[in-house]
Amino acid sequence: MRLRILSLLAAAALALAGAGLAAAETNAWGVTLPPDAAPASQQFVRLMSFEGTTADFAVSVYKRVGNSYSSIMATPFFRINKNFELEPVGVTSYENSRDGKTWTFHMDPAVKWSDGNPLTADDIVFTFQYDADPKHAWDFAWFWSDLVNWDDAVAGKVPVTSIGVKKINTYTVQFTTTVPSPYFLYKALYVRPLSKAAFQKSGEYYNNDPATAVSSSPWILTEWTKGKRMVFGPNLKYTGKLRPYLEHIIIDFGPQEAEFNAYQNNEIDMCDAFSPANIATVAADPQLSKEYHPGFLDFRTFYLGFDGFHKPFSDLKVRQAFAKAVDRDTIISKIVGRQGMAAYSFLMPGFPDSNSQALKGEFPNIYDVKTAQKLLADAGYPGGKGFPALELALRNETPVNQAIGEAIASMLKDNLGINVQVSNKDQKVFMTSLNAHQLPFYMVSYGMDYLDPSNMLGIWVSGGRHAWVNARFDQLVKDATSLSGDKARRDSMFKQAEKILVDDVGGIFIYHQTPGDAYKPYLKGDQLEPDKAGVTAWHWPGLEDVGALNTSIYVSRDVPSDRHM
Amino acid sequence: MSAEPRPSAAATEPAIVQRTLWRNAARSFSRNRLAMVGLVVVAVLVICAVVPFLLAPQSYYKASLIDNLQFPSARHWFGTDQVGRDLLSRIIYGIRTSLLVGFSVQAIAFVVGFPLGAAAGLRGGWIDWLVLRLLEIMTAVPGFLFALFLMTVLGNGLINVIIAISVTSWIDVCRLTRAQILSLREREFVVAARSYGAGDWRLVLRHLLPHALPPLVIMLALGIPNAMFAEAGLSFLGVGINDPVPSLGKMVSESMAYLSPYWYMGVFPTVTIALAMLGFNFVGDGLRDALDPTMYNNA
Repeated sequence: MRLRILSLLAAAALALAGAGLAAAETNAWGVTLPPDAAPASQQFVRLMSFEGTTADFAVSVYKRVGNSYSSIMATPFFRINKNFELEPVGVTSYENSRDGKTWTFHMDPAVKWSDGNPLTADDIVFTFQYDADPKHAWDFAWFWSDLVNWDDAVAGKVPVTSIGVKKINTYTVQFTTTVPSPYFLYKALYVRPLSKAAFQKSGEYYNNDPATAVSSSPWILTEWTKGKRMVFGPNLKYTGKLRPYLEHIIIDFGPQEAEFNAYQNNEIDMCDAFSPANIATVAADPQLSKEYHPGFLDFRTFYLGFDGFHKPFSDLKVRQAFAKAVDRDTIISKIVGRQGMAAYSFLMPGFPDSNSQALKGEFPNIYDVKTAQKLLADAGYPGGKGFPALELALRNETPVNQAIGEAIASMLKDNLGINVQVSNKDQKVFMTSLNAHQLPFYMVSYGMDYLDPSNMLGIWVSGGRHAWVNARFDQLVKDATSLSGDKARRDSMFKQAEKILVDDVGGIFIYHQTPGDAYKPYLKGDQLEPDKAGVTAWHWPGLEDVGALNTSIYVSRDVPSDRHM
Repeated sequence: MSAEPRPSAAATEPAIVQRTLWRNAARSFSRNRLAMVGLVVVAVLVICAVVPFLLAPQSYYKASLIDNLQFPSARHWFGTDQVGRDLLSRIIYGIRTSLLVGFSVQAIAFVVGFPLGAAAGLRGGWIDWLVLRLLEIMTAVPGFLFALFLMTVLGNGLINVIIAISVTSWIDVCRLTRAQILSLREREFVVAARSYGAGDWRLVLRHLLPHALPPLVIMLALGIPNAMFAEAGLSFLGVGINDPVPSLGKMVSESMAYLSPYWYMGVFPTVTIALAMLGFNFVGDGLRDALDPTMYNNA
């Protein structure tokens, strides 16, 4: 009897220990998975994207794989979480000089490349010199224009070694800007280093081949089958502090149009490309509706722009007439639906210094056909007579935005008597014409690169892509951008500038995009829980750049057992 | 004196032959059921194209966002599109666009291809060599891809679409005309006309064209749906006609994003394109059967 009791106790102890061991399952890096997680073999996520020519942001921004899956193999200085807060990843500390122009970053010596080399200041300096090299002709070079000597180096006027990125010692690097740069930490999100040694050994595309790929993040390229898919698997030589659950990130290459079907067929776990019909399907399906999460993504605003340097749009009355003849609310309710909100200014609600509600009542923002007609008549075009026929150029837009363009053309015809044709142009053709100020009338969008008003409002400063100039606006934005130490004044200056932009009708702001995404209910993690605004979307920048999502997401036990890589 | 009647006989022979040929062709065509069905379809399309304002219930550009994406109903027989425009009205006006492109392209093909082919066939020598080299070069260019390239250079618009499709459309007309002229130029009535001092252009227009016309008519008739289809293809790819000018191809292209559940947005313009293709092809086949002497004799 005694022996039997002892046996039972021993069996119970073993069972408890077994249960404990099961709950404490670890993944390839030895990270303990959450209690409700599926086995490590299920810790992968499948996505769909277009295939680019590089996996690295520093090689090409516009030709990189997808828009949200590049730089997975680089440990950045910082990453951003769902509340848009910066988290240091590749640096242990940083400081700003008294004049606000110099930023010094102390890199984490624990971070190493998978080839055994440490990630050092040399890699950072090398990456920036490569991006400033005119022979490279990096397609995102404008972004670092505020660095000392950057533009001159890009133009080939000075050597790339003279740019404002200097090595102080092995793990310390210094960035110097031409003006005080209080926003710089947000820009530092884009410090995504290449491995100098790997680059020099295998060339700029060293990360395109698993045989030559070198990573400083928890993942490394394990497969890139051209035209089919790429797979990032565990980098078991990773030495940094990130502790991910996901072992594999799989990106199937496919067109946007195929994404929703693939999601419905359970071939991918997340979908962020929806046609209007897809949205209708989601709305009609209770389960898909639960899986659909509206978000802000990159605070993108769609707007109408003009050639304000020439007639007829050089006349403020014409611009005002156009602004007052466009019925945003109907466009939102009938075309955009859940994928956007009416815009009355450039900065979307939720973005720093957004003043959308206050600007809603500004004169150009009030839909008023009679006043619009009077303004047009006062400008010399009564009933649209004598007004040149217009082409509304679009930048290779989606069906939703094409429909918006068509609706606006119809409104301008009905309300102002102006004939407008809509032309959906090739992206490169459009951008070349836009930057050369050769588009009389267009609709385009802009989303943030970093979370500071200087980034969004800066594109309206004269000399940029818009044929609109306002000296007061220019001064306010330039002064506010470099203003350190007085946040209230800086915020106020940006708000004043945006009011000028609205009142002087630099553009007509149509809608802020709130693009939803759908992800399977078995994907869980802190970053998918509601943020400060209650948003549960796949937050910007997604899985790119070893963002906070990468290390938060795991696959829970309710995943279908037949799901495979 | 005894030779006096001969010229008049030579001059009148082609006219008699042609009158008989066309009369026989008309009779043969009218007995061809498919051709007559095609003719009815083409007639309906032409009526739509000529007087769309009498047939379309609404304007083709009038958008009513309140009524967007309405399924077919008594008010909107073919439903409404993504911005609330009446789809039936847009299809009727879209037929006008398609036919305008189809007929214009063939007209340009004839105006360019016939004189070049006739000059090459009739004069031979360096003109023939030059035209043949030009034909070889143009034949090497894939027509639709070249049109696509031209549209990206010229930009969207109806006139540009016609120009882009026309650039390669004259090749077959030119080649056929040259072959016809080569086979006809040594015939007795041509030699006779020459001997009476007929100049090149008179020879071509009065004596050769009537004989060369039947196969050209067939080619031009069959070319109309091809040009319409090319326009639909260009517009489908987004490099054709600009909105709000309606194009059947563009309507099909736009419908793709809405097809489920708004099936009607794609079905009606697609069916219209298909009907237009069938109609013109039936008519073209009927004309070939009617005008091709070989087929005629076999019948």
